[in-house]
Amino acid sequence: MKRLPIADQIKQNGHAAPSEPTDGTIWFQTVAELHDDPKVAEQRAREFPEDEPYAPPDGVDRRTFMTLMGASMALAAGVSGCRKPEELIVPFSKQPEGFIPGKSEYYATAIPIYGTAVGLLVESVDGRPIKIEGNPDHPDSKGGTTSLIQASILDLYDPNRSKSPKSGGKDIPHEEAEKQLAAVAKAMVAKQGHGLAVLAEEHRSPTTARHLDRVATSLNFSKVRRFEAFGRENQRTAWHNVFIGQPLDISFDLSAADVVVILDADILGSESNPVRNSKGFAARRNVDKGNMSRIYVAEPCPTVTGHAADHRLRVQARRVGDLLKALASALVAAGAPIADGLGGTPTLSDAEKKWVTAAAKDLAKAGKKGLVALGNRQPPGLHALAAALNHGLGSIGTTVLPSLPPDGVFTNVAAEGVSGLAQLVEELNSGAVDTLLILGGNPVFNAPVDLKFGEALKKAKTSIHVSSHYDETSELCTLHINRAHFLESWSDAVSDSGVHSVIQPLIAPMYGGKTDAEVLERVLGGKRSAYDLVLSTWSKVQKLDSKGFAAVVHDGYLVPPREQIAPEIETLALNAAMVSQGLGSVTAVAGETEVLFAPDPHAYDGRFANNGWLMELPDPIFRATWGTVAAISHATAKKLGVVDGDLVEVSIGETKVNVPIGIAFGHADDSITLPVGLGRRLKGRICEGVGVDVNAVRASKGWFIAGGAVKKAAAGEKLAVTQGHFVMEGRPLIRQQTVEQHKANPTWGRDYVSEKPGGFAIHPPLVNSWEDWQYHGHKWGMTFDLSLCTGCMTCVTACQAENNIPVVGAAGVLKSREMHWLRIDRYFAGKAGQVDGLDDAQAALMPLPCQHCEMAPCEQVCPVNATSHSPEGINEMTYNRCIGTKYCGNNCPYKVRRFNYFNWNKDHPEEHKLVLNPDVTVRYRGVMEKCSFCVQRVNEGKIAAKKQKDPSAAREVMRGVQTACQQACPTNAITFGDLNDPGRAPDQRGPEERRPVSELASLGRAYGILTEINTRPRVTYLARITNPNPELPQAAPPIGAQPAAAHAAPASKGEH
Amino acid sequence: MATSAPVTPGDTPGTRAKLVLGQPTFKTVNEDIASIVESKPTPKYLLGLMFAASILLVMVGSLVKLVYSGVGVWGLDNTVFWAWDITGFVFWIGIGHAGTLISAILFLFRQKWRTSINRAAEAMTIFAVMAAGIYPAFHVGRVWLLYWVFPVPNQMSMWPNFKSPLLWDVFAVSTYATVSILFWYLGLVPDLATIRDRAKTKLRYLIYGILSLGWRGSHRGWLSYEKAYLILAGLSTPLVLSVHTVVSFDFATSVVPGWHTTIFPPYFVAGAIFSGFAMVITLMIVARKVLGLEHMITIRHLENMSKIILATGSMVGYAYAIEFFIAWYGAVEYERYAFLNRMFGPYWWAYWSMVSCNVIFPQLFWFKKVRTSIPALFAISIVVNIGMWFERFVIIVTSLHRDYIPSSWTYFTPSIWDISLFVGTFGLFLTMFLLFCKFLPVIAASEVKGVMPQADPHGDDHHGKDEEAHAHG
Repeated sequence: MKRLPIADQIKQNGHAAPSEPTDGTIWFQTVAELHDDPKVAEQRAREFPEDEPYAPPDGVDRRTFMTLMGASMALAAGVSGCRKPEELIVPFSKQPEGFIPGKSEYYATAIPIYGTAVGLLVESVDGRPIKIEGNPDHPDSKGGTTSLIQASILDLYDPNRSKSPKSGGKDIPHEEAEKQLAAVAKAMVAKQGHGLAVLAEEHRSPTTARHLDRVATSLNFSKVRRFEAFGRENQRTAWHNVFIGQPLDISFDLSAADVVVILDADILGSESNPVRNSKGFAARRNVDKGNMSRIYVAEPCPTVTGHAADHRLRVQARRVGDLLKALASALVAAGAPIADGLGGTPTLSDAEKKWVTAAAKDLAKAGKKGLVALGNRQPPGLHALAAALNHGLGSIGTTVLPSLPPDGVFTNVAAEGVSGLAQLVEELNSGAVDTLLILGGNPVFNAPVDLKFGEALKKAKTSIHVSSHYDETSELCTLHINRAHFLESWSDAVSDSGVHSVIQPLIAPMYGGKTDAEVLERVLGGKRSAYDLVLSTWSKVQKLDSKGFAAVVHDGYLVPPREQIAPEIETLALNAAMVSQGLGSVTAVAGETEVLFAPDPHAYDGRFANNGWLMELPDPIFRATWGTVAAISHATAKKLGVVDGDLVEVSIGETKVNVPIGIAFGHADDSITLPVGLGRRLKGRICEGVGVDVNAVRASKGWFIAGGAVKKAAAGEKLAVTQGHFVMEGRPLIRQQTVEQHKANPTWGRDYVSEKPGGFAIHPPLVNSWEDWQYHGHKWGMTFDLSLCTGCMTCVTACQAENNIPVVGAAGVLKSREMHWLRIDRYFAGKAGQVDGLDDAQAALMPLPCQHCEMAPCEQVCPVNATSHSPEGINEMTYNRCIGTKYCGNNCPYKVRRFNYFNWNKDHPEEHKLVLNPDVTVRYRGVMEKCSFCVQRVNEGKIAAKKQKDPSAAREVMRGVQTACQQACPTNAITFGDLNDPGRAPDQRGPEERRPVSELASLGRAYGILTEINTRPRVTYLARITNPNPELPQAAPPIGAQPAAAHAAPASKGEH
Repeated sequence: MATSAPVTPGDTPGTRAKLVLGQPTFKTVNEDIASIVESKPTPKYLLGLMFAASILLVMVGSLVKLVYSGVGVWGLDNTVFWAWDITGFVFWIGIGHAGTLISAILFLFRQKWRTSINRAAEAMTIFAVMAAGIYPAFHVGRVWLLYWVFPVPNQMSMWPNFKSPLLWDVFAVSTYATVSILFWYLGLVPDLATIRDRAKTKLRYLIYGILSLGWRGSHRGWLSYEKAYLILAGLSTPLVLSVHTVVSFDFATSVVPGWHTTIFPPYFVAGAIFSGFAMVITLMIVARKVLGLEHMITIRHLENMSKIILATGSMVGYAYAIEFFIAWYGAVEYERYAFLNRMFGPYWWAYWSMVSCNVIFPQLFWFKKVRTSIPALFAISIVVNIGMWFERFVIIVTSLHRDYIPSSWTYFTPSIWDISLFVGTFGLFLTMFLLFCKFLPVIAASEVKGVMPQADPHGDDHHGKDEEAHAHG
């Protein structure tokens, strides 16, 4: 196989004629050639001989990398506004101004995800993007990210990415693909688009939207459809129907909401804009500010949103409609200005009635500061009712913010989602469509099974799939075009709140991939590059000159004028008749068990299936990795006679699938949640053979919620979970109070001791064996606010990305050898061996990194001094010195140390080496590792601070130092900083500025864990404060945190 | 070979059994012991050696695999960082204790019955320490950097951490190994000289001549020898107590509930002697039969050792009980949980195996019938060794697998390589022991001669009827 650098390929694909020898010498390669075999002559002309199919490099070598780096530098220089960016791939001949080798640079960009866009700042070192951060200035994300976003950088370097266009399963040069596209363009122009269909996903790109519009108008017989496995079409359809006859996207402002009622919507985890919502949530869960919002969640399957609730009700998804109708009636009863007659009086259980009544009362009181959020999987009819409730409360415009979707082409909502796809299949089958362009997505994998999309696709004469991988859909298409990753080409995106961003590449397309807009441009007969397309969109739509464009590229976002985002709120008149009509169209889901489909926590809808970080990220429900786990309640499991890991057979109509189950405490009974996204047929080093493809039972009827039956199929294997014990055993690890209890007893969190004589946290006076460390300079510390932590796992992925943490595979996880430096422990209130009733138990979360103990047990036992105390209080691990006795790991009471049992980095594909952070050592086999408080960032800050002349400026620099977990956290639950630094005076702080760690660590609810063994941890936890409705029964708090009056400690508590 | 002497208990109240049975003379003693070295190995012996060596190969293979692939070949995880490795280490170190105890402490207490078993017991000690040493050396992640634990002055100014009990271990175990080897070798010198003097081949003469360091058997020689022996015995005596004390510090000084207890030093020492004597009994029962030394390693020796097992076993049982009492009385919840978890947690089977093997079965030694029955002795000695392996496993694994933070709790399961290495260390131990039996005098001939009536021509002048006034095992 030939291994050519990309630049050379491009050169060679130009088919330069081989120069003939002039001196009479005959140069030959084979004997056949010597004999002038015509076949050989043909082969030679061909550049890539037939018997040796052209194979793109399966790695990027140093030379290519330098070339790419040069290109991205050139781009970067252009962005700064001095000249037009050049897209040539050339190495440096002159070092760009401001570029220092080895020094990180940050570029603003955005990622289209969750049907919205999230603003990012991406760190680039020597021309290669290595870490994704949120853009702190972006009005939506405010610097937050999610796990999927953090891990998306790994997909850029996925060795199994498609590296060239393919036709008929064979690689073809880009020129060949361009030719084919040009042929399509020519034919289509002639036919005015007859027989052409374009299938898009929820792309959020104004440029792509403009081109889809162009396709729809200039090729006016063509059809444009949109399909997404977990799209927002139900909500959009409802708003289309009940308001202005135009689909509207909505986003939420949780920071403006006093009362939030969330029905089957994981708005902090996987739908809506989780980053924006988490930031809003965090703004209103600060007990010290005294403006706590109250959150009601009713959901079938536990989610991070449910974890964050004050009152969580487990309810089947098919019964959410009843709940919503009852809520409508109760709101009317509570005096809210809701149009009467929309609700009803469905039969509810006592607990449900109480929940609804309490929520309605609170909502009515909150008025426009109330919020009703309904999940994407609920039918449009219910979304119509939810819209009516929000409208009635007046919350549209305050907590619920509508925005116009970027693509005007979808004013016909029937072209969207399953119905749009069904039309397309019909047209393909009837021959009305013979040319299909699929932009992204993977419908062969995740389209409704009854539509038999794959069969229909085969009937198309020409089918083109633009995708990152040569996947299930690509295999059935006549032409596959490798798609550019969002970090490697120009595009743009608009978030669901209407904020526009330019997607700026950080590296030239590694394999010459194309963006959706570029392919559309080719189909329309154009030749422009992605950059030109984006620039022209922005100059046309946003009326920006090149300077203004450069400013947007630099800032990463643009908030367009109000009228461009959404119609005037006042003009949104509710069409009550449409609400009733919509409600009438909601059909009940029959069947003994309801089957719910949800995006897979590891793969989303399948697009992240080949991402090792995500695959090994414990999901929020089971802490499971490497596989599909269907969730059922404990009671249902008992009924079915299954335990964790057992296989159940889920049947819906004629279709069946066997899937391993996990018992999810908090799941609704007679309900099963099937995660969609794994079980891919893609040949990927991560996803191959992992998980179950549940699309086999996902049909267009019952697309999100289906009626079916579940029975035990077979005993299964152990699930690869990272946490096997979910009971706190009475240990006061997580402490929780209500707002009232906290007011009455603000130091309870810190002073907690067990009420039981001889119980936890009671201890004799603690004596130090030797002199205390003295800290004259910095003294680093960290706090975790348990009120804010939703358990979304973003910090875990951010830590993995920052610190080059390896992936150990399913076998490694099964042996409890996962390497995450930071984990999030999840407990349920309950006692060992007593699992009945745990279905209603409250879950509690605790992020746990190295505690950087003042009296660290690990430091004392290392025979070679490989782990030691830094003068700034960081417990440091010297990998070079470690010989691997593992004694430190045994003696760590927090069990945060991770041992390299094997050389986990041995099998790094060449590409993956590019994502490694050069500031962090890649650990070898046989050494211990653990959280370092991101010491590389601390040191970077110290170097920067040293350059400041003014000590106060230096201090400001140091205040800017953030750990990776802190920076990524979408709820600001993590604060890192100098415990010796009191921070800015409160009156000098910005409105959204976080309190310094020194202040947080001295709060009355700040406590350390296991302080009774005198480790004196540097990490403090802020007790979780909930804001429950006193009228509702309260879920039992996690044990160890009984909200009882604090007892004075019997002896000195030692220092914290 | 020796004439087969009647093996009878021979004890009647008021008189003690003879240490050497039959009517041996100095010559027959020499003959009996040296002939083992001088005769050709029997097919049985060769078969045994091949068997042992093949197990040794298992150990070598396991170590190659371990170093090649990494410590991950074992069943360890990120909660249980030590399991079969350190269990094996403590197990073998414990076995090593009987040798020094017999040779040093019993020597100082003038327990003359030790003479016919001390040589083999000391050899066993050395081989057990060798087997033990495999573990701390190879359980580390980067065995090629192991020398960093030694305070070797170097240009990198690296220095070990003297606060770490593992470092204390390094010194304790290496000191113990050094002194044990010296002590053993010193005792060997007169017997090596005997073999040299009887040598009929040049090679044997040369080898044993070099090894016997020019021993002439002169009065001056004996005088110096006895002094040196006494000094080394004095040096070894505290080591018997210190080694296992230091080993127990690995656990006792940690913060792990179930490890962090002050009873560990005496409890570990008692357990070590307990297991060491059990191993000596196991080996001696086989050796005396196979080598035909029943008249020198008599039932009385075995009985005395079984009494020690009974005593130390009871101490160990007491320690188990007091540990629980302290866990309850100390009122530390984590500690209480750790001990309840031992008894009723997922590793309950290991705990109850340990208790029955170590506390219940040795109680049978209250009965003289059991103490003097070879099959019973053999069976119980093996049961005790199994029990003592379980004791270390229980201490290490059941404490680690569920400590402070419940989210990190795991269940350790050994891998095939855990098992193969442990089995392999028996190969090392047995191979070494078999080679020792063939090439060195198994019984300290010179010392045995010293306790025979011939050595004391004046008979009962000093001690009345009792030959060995203090020889009360």
